[in-house]
Amino acid sequence: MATSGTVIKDMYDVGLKPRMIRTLLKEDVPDDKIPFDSPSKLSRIISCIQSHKLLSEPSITDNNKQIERWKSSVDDWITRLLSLISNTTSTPDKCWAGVCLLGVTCQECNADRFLRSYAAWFDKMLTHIQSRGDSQFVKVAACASISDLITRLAGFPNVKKEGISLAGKVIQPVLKLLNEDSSEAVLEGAIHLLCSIIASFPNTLQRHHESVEAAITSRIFSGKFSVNLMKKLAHCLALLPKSKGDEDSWISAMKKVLLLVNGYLTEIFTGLEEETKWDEAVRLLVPPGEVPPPSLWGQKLLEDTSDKERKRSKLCSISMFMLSCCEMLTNSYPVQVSVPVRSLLALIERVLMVDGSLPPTTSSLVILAEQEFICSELPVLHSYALELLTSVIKGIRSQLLPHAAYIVRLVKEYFKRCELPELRIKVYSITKLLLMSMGIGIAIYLAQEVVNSSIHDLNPILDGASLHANAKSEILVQPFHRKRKHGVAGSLEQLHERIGLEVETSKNCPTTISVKIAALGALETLLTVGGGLRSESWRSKADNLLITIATESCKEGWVSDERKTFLPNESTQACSDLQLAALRALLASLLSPSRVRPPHLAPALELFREGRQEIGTKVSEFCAYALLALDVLIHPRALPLADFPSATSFNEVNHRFQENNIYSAAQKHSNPFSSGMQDTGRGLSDSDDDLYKSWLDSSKETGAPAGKNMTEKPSETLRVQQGENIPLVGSSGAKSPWRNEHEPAAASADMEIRSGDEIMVDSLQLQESMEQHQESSKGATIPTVAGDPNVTYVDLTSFASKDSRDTEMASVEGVVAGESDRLATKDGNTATSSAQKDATFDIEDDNQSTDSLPDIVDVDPDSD
Amino acid sequence: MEEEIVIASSSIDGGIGCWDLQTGTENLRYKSCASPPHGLTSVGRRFLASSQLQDAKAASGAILYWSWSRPQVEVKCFPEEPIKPLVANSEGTYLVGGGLSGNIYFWEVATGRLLKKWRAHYRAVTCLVFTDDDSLLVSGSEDGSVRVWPLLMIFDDHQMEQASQLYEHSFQEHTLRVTDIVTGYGGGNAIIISASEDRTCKVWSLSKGILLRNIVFPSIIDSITLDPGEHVFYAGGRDGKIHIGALSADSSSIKSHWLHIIGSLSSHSKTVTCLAYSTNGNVLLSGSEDGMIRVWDPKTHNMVRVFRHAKGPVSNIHVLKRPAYLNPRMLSNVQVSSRRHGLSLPPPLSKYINTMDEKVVGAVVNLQATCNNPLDASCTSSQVISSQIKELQQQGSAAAAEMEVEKLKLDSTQAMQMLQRWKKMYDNLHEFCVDELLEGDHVKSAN
Repeated sequence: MATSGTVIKDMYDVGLKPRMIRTLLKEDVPDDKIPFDSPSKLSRIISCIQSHKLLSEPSITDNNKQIERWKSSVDDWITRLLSLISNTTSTPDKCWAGVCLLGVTCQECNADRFLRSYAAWFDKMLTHIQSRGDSQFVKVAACASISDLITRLAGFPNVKKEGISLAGKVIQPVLKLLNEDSSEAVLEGAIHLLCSIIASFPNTLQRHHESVEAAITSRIFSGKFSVNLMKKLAHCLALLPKSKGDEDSWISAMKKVLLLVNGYLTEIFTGLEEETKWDEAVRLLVPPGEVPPPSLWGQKLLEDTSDKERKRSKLCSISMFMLSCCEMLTNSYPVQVSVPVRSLLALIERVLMVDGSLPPTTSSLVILAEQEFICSELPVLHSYALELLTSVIKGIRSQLLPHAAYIVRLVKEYFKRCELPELRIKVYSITKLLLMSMGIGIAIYLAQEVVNSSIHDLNPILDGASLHANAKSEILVQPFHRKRKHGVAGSLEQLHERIGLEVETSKNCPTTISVKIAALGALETLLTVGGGLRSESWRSKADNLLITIATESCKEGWVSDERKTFLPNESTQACSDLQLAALRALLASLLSPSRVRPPHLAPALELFREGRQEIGTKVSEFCAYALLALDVLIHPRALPLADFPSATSFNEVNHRFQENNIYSAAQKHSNPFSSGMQDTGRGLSDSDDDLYKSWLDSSKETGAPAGKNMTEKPSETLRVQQGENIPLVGSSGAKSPWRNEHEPAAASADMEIRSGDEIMVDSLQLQESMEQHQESSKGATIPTVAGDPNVTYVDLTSFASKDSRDTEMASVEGVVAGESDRLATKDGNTATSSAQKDATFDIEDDNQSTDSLPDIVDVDPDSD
Repeated sequence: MEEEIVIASSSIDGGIGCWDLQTGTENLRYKSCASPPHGLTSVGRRFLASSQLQDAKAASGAILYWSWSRPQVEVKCFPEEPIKPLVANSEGTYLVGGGLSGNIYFWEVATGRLLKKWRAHYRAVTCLVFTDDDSLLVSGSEDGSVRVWPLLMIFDDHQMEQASQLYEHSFQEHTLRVTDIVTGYGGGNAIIISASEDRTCKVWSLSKGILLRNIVFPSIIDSITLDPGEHVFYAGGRDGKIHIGALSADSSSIKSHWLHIIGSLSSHSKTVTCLAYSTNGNVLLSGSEDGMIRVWDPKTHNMVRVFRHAKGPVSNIHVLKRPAYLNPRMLSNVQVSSRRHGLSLPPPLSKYINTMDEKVVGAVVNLQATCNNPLDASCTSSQVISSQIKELQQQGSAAAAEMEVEKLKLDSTQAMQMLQRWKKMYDNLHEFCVDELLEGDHVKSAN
């Protein structure tokens, strides 16, 4: 050979390619003389061609010798393949190899060559589909190769006409394959070919629409194929309307499917649901005045059989037709269509509401065996109905709004009853979808349900215990046994003891874990979308739950996801997925806006830092991202898009705009202070529970992490204002330097706008202690300060009674203006209680009020 | 970066002007439009819709549609009463209009059906906005109230019966007519800023439903817009200035007489009627009573461009990404593709709620592929081949066996042929030898 003498530069040398082709031809590609002994040879040839791009020579002809040589070798390659395919004396395996390789060539060769010779190749392969005697292997390969050829052909807009005529030639032989008693593999190949024709040249099928539809549906009705093939049939059925491409054919296809499913369900659900369902479905689908057709595709809509096999095949068809509906909703369609949403939703509800129980109205005509049969098949039906719901949400998008409330009710209802893990996972994913598509509006509706369900599924204590719906209501209460004040806590602990042994065994069950992952995902989405609005009732529960889960799941070390490539162990995989899901949800809980600083920030940071060490895992990637995201939380910044001529100085009062200010409620009132105080009281009782809990949690659970936590313990009596001892009001000293910039803000008289969660907590303390102080001082009780170098405790003793407080309220208002009481100073620390003034007081005299209203300054080097 | 266009309308009939923001060239001018403030909207970037100012006597309102490619009004709708503010959600599936009576009308664009109508305010609705996730609607009214409507609740008949009111929040602190509302970024956590004729702008928290900040301005503010970083907001006043209000910006060091106002842009001689912010070019646009649209650089406070729109006051400005149909190269294809994709304009909006068709008519949806189906993967032959190879190697399946049998059959026929050939050769040889022998004998005997 001419090239044999030349030196190859490297593996990218152009000269290498023709040589490789020739070697392949000489040694590997079979022909009359070269035997085709092992099929694995074929995969080697294909991988060689694909990885080196051997067949795609550049089409420029600048007399480059090497390229010429390459071209001629590709010519040889194709000649060889064609001879393999068309030679009648070659054995079927060689023929098969030829067809396969030609299919690969269709994808790999350059555009010029493809356009020049696709017609010839097509004819060669078509004969193998048509001929009766050919091996099934060859037929399947020919179907696949032709479908690749057609798909590629559709990419060239200028040969559309030829493409259509070519595709037209295939349809008859393919229909024959479909109608014949072919094997599953051949059917699959034929279906695939049909799908690619519809995708590439939909118009070709227009005339054959009916016959193709009949062929496919008859296959679905027969119900004797593998699930995989059935799904492909359903997919193809869903694509069929595209061949006409107008609104009517889509709608009529959808209606036919819905009618059929509803008809079949009527028979299968006899005795398990109200009898009116069929009429309802018909009313929604058939325009008034018309009657539904008695049969579709040769199948009676309503018939009565007690044959179990027949019923089973009907159930299978129902599933497949529902799947077909899903595909129709999520596949693209060239024109706008009017989706029968109501009847789709009615169908979904109809299926989901049947749980196998006999309604009280039905007579006990249904035999026990019948009920058992249906119960055994229901999970599959439910799963497809949920799938359909998912597709409805995906397909209809914002148009779903008028029906959203209905769906929410349906999902809520189903959540309560659904217990199978597989179905729960689906419901969680639907919840996620709803939250993402409808945003905050739907979060208000769904929040409580999502939180309750995920607490149920995530609760480590209740793991493995099967709970009935009536028990769930108890679990709504915080499951942590730290909260002893809840009455239910005791019973939960008992439960814990009872099932204590079970916990260990059922913990690593993959299905439980995947339900947990789904629950965490839903919770994450909820926090992402609706963490801020009306979240008071569930937020702290969710936060606590998430930190617990994250700590739990990471306690046993990090599961490396490298390991699973060698040990394809499902549970390892699931564990690392669970860790990831827990960390993701934890991040969402930290970032989602709330009224107070995230109580679990420190332990969470610790977790993320640890996780980041596991280099090369998904967890580590995510932890790095989480740390980046949390950076903004720790170093708040509001950078201007453009520079504004304003010098930022920390010494001046910094009016940052933040929403986390619970006291701004007081601003509404014209008489700021007196009513402000009442408001404060109310605001406290609204939010105090959460706030209180989160304080408790932050001090107890996190164990004073990183010196950022305050050991604050506002007591019940502070709010109730009854005469008891008030233990502590104060804030810890060890503040990190970064907090200093906010300090002046707390002192600021401007109550509306204050910066940072920190400050809010500070000022809350201020306000409380101030109120206490004012009133207690009137009650002639002297506040005492017990301080140590780091922490300043302000012990405020009680004031007289509720009655006296009421009378004092009015007088407080007058005192406000310059109210400022220095309580005590010890070891260089200043503990101060100050009155917070309303904005209206201080627009003019910022400086003065700043002076007169110092904040609590503890061990704070900068302010000294 | 996608090019942006500016559309603007006036309260006297000056049509809808349309300019390219980057180059300043004017595109088509859509004819006969006299819209009230907040009365112009682009519906999912597919077409323009605007409510029209009407005589006080007119019993019904008017809403007009223009397609991007033609200057004439294409669809005319006549709602029950005059509509002032008109807004579409970002996908362009719904149009919401606020009536003079205080009712809000909620239409589905694709079918033109009036889905809901509800009593929102005691007096005329002046402005309507969607929050950025399209799930809440915020309305302002002449009676000074600002209300937040969860759209889900509006459509939830079940809940409606139980709830005492439909709105999520009702802010009553404004004492006079609300002139403009904007909502910020962040779904449920967003802020809402409202401007009113009582010379204040108020910042509300959506999540808590409380007033966060009250800013008093030297003049009445007719329009507001937000800085994309929500650092400041811009408020166009009747004194011709655009005031800069502080949100997260530090306003304390500014020696301004007015709290939270950190500066202003001015060169307007007349009232600033509307504002818009282009995030793309980071410029601020203002419309004025003198019919000019000025483009500002918010960083330097300089004017960078001026568009002349009409003699009368500019009532609306919007900055939009350029729709594909406006692209001159595409224009020839537009007619064809718009017909195919059902992009021709939808039917007019209906006047009343029709309860009958609710059951029959479904949601009209433009189905786009939302998920990648593995079956659509274009190249399958190599997949098929590898699965077939596997099958062959396992030697288990009937098909593989069948092929093997075929192969063996062919082998056997070949062997038979070979046998025949050999046999023939043998015969020939035999004959030859016999002949030779016989010949030899014959020769011998001859000798």
